[in-house]
Amino acid sequence: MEVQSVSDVANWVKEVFTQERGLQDLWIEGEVAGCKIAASGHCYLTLKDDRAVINAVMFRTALSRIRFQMQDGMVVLAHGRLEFYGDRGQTQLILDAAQPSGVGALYLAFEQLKTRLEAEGLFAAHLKRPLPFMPRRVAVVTSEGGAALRDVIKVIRRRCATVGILVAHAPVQGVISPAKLILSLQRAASRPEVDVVLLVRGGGSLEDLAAFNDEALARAIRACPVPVVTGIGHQTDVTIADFAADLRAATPSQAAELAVPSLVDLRRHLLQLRHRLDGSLPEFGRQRQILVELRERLDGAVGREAATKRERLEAAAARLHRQSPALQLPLMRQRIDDRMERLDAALKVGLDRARADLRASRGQLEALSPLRVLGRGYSIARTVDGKVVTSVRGLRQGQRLVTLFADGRVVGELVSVEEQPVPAGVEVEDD
Amino acid sequence: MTEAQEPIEKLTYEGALGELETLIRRLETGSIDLADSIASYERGVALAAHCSGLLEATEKKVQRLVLGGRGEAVEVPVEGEDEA
Repeated sequence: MEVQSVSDVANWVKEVFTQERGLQDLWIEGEVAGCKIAASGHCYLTLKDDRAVINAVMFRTALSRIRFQMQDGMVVLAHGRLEFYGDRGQTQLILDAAQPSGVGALYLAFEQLKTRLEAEGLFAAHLKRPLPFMPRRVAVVTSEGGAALRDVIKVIRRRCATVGILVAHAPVQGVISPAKLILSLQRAASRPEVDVVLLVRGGGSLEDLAAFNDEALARAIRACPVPVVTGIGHQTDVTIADFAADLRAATPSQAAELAVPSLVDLRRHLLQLRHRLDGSLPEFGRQRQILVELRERLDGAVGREAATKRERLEAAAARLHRQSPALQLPLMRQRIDDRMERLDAALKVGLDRARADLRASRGQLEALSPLRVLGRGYSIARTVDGKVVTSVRGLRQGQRLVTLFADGRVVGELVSVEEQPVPAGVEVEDD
Repeated sequence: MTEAQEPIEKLTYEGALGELETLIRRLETGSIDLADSIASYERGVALAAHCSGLLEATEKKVQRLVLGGRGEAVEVPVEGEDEA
């Protein structure tokens, strides 16, 4: 029997491997384990399945050509040759190419498509259209049997039952899904009164969501005549359709919430505004109070010997009053009452309180206008014989004028009389 | 009123609500004179009624888009989906 040295046997094995052409050009699929990159830049790993393990190495140059990060647990489809490495008595694969297989390949395709469409500008922020405040109808493109559709209908019905819903069925997974989704999207969006389209699907694996990572679907979304809201999968799922959509919701239910306002919230807000509107009128009551106080002060200040002057003042006030917008009130009030009745019918809420407020303030309104003016820092100028001065015309230098303020009066001589318009902004309000 | 006033019945809910809010703010600050404040109040009441009317529109049904015999889109009511 011939005795062989270890090296001879090692070389023999190596030779056998080299001559076995299948082993020199093989595709192998397996899970990466023990992956580490040495200081040299080479990547050492093992490929395994549930029954076997093979050592492998990917040298630096080959490693630099692959488009993903080699990681433990990843299933890869690799190409290379098998050699016997005598130094360590090991067989090992010399890998020259690899790509993630299964989910990994989908992910890679997703990333590539996303990068390309993004570069093309399909996802640009300026393309995103705002949603209508209150759509007349919402089209829902999804699978008719899916939980996503039930969720969307439930949410829309709860928030705003006055919004119509148009369901456009399309399978949400499988090879034909993208084409069907596009068809349903186009048909639904062109129906009358459809102001927004929801493109939704329940959760699933990355493979399940693949239909929504379709380039043609992304383009159909951008070409859609009305805004598209996507709600695909769960919170963490993001698809190409999501990037292309005008608005991306995390889930189907959230898509429905974004698309329709809540009637309850709207009614509550409206009611608050009605209260504020009604509350803005009793302002007049406060002004009447000011009027009464001013009159009392006038009585005290002017005194008995000025009784005639006071009469003139009151005559002036009466004259002012005749020019007052308050005189238009009865007409205004009648029109308000008309509207109030219509409002009653529409709102179905009692507006008795508002109407009572209005009646109560009717009397107050009659008297308030001149004093509102005085209280704000305006003053009334009169000639010495009690005529209210409304124009500089007819006034002359040296003439005496009596000027009434909220808290008294002054008598002065005119230094000069110039006719010119009052500049805008002079009538500054002080509340 | 200084701004051009659109007929209320032509305003959208959003538009009417926005005008109502602006108008109430002006009334509350008292920065407009009496005649204007009456007119503003009156318009405010009408705006609120208009908004309210829009919210009271009749409830809409769920429709399904299907294909007719010649491949044309047809809408049919969805039965039993009301409580969905």
